[in-house]
Amino acid sequence: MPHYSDEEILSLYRDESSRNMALHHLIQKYQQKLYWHIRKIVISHDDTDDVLQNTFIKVWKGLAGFKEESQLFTWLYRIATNESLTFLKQKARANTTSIHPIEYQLSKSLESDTFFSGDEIQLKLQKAILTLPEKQRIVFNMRYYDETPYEQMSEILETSVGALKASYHIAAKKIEEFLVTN
Amino acid sequence: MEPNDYNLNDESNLPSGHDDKSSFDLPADYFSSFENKLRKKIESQEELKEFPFLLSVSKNNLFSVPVDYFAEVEKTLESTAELSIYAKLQSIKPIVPTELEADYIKHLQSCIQYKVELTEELKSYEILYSIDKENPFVVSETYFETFAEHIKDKIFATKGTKESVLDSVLDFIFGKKTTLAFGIITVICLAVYFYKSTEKPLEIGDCKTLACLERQEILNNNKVISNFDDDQLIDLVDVKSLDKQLNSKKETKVSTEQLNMDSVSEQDILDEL
Repeated sequence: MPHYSDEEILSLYRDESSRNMALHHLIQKYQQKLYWHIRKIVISHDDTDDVLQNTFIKVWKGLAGFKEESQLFTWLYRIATNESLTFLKQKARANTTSIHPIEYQLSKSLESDTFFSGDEIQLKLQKAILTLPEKQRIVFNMRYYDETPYEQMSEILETSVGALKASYHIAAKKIEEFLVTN
Repeated sequence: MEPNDYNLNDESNLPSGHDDKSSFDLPADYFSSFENKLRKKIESQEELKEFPFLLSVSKNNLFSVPVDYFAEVEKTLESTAELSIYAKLQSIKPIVPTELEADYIKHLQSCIQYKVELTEELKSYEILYSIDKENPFVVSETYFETFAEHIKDKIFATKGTKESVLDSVLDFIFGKKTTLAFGIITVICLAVYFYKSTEKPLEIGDCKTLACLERQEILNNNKVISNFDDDQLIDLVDVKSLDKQLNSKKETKVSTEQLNMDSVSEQDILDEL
C-alpha cells in the first residue's frame, strides 16, 4: 500500500472527522523506520516496543502544536531519539545493583537476545558500537546503517554538519580499533 | 513479344543471370491458393452487387490494437502453455511492475552519486568496509501488523478517561504537579510560621531589658523565657535602668496621691468624719 505524504497526513489531522485516519497513516508510514532507529539505540525488542509506543503517544499529543517549521519525519526522529536517550538514562538510574555502565549491560544482553540474528562478526560489530558514547553511537548508526545524509541528521540531532562528520569518523576509527584488538 | 507467348516455365524466357532462386520470393502455396482466393472474391462481389453502397465503400478495418499487442499475446500464450503443467505456479498471479515514480529518473543520478559517496567514505576503514551492511536485529512477523491498532487503543483509551469533567478536576487536584506544589507551599508556610514564633522579639519596654516587661508579658512568652536560665536572666537586667524606672513609677504614684489630696476640701473631710 503506498504511503500518504506528510502533507496529506497533516491535512487529515487538521480535519476533526479524519483525525483517526491521520493517526493510522502516520503509524503505518513511520512505525518501521522509527522502530529500527530506536532498536539500534536501546537494543532490546521489549524496550524498543515501550519507547516506540511512548514516541507515538508523544507525537500524537504534540501534533496539534507542530509548527511545520521542520519536516514531519525530522520531528518524529527527534522525539524518538530523545525518548530513547531518556529511557537509557532511566534504565541506568534504576539499575543500582550493577557496577557496570549501561552500555556494558546492553552489550551482554545482545548475546542472549532471541531477536538478534547476527553472526559472530555482526555481534562483534554491535559490541564495538556499544563502546561508543551515546551521541557518537546514534550518529554512526544513522550514517552507517540508515545512510542518512548529514544535512538531515543535522536537523534531527540539532548539531552542525561538520561536528557530525567529525563524530562519525571518530566513531568509525574507534570501531576499527575495537575490531582489530578484539 | 505478346504477353501470352511468355512462358514462365520456359527457362529461355528468364532474363540472363537469373535462376529459380531469384531475389524475389513468394509464400510457398501462393499459386496453389490463388485460384481459390480469386473465386471467393468474385463471389463476394457478386453478392454485394445488390447493395451498391456497400460495394462502393472500401473494406478497411477501422479498428486498431495497441502497439505490440499481438507480440504480447503470443508471449502470454506461450508462458500460459509452459505453465499449464505446473498447476501451483499457474495459480500464482505474476507481479505486474508498477509504473515508475515521475521523478525516479531525475533522482536516480543523485541516488547513485550518494551511494558512491557513502562507499568512498567507508573505504578508509578496511574492516568496516569488508563487513556486510546488514541489520542483525529481528522482530516478530506480526509485530508491525498489530502495532497500529495497539497504539490507537492506548491513545484513545487515555483520551476517553479524560473526557469526564470530574475526572479532569480530580486529575488536576490529585495530579502529581498539584500535589507537589501543594506540598512545597505547606512546607514553606510551616517553616515561616515556626520561624516567626521562635524568633518573635519580646516587647521590652523603655529600659531595653527584660526587667521592664510586665508580668503578663513574661508569662505570655514563657516558652521563650523558659529557654533562659537564672544567670542569663540576671545578666539581662540593666540595674540602673531598672532603678530609674522604679523610682519614676514611685514618684508618679506619690504625685498622683498628692494630686488627689489637693482636690479634697476641708468640708469633705469633715463630712467624712
